[in-house]
Amino acid sequence: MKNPELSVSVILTVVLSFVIAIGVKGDPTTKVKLALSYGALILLFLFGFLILAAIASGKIDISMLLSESGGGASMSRFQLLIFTFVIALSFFLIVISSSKLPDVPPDVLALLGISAATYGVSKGIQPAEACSRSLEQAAMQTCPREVVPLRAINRPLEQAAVQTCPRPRERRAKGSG
Amino acid sequence: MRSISTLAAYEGLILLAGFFGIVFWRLLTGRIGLNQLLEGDIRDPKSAEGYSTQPSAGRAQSLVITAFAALYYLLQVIHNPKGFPKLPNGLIEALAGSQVVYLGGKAQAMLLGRWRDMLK
Repeated sequence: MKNPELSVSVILTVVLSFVIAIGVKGDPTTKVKLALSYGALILLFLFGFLILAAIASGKIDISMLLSESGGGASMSRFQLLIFTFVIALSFFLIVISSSKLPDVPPDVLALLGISAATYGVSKGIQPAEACSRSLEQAAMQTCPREVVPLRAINRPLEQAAVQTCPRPRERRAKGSG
Repeated sequence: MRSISTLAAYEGLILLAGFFGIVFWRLLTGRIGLNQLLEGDIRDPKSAEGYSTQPSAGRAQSLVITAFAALYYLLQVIHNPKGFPKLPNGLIEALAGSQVVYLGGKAQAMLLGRWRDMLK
């Protein structure tokens, strides 16, 4: 089984929902409603927690979250991250204090829209040499900085390395002084 | 048994705080890199690859305006958490202008290169 955590989460949710349905007093419709509501809540939490745990343990790698394909940090990504957190935190605070879903004003859409548009346009005008990040990571692993047995590298990775090896931004900066 | 809304609030708090905490901690410890955040690529005929990096004023002003707008918004929400606050038009215009300056500078650096090289 590839992801046993997911199966365990689903089984745990079903068991807990069943326990809630049995333990709660009331008519059958109420029991089913409560069991489904709590079940959905528990399942959502477990899935979120699984992702959180995977990020914390390094299974999901977010080290390149703010990186441009050229190698350095991206201002537009950083800005989008900041505004996303600010709006998410604001939304959460408002929902908790007013106990209802708030209307989303145009200001919020403007903030997120400006950030997202900047990110999109910024991606459009970055150097044409920039390759996809996965290819670049593969290339960095196979660059002649460290000797890697050629048998361990398959042909597509080798081609990616040839295309991207001389181009990372740090090297260019050092090379140009 | 606690009500569903209370549980959902705690759930949201735990997940949001967790995601925020992990990203913030990794930013602090350098595992999410912020190096060259204030440096931009520029067309450079003298470089072997055709591009080099240099400090970017556009990125610096963009960072300042972004931090100011984010802090302002968060403080407004903390002071009155009954609804999303109204942002002053000036702040939105400043933010949009800052992005236009940043993107314009980046486009100029990518397409045209340094001014001094263009004027030669």
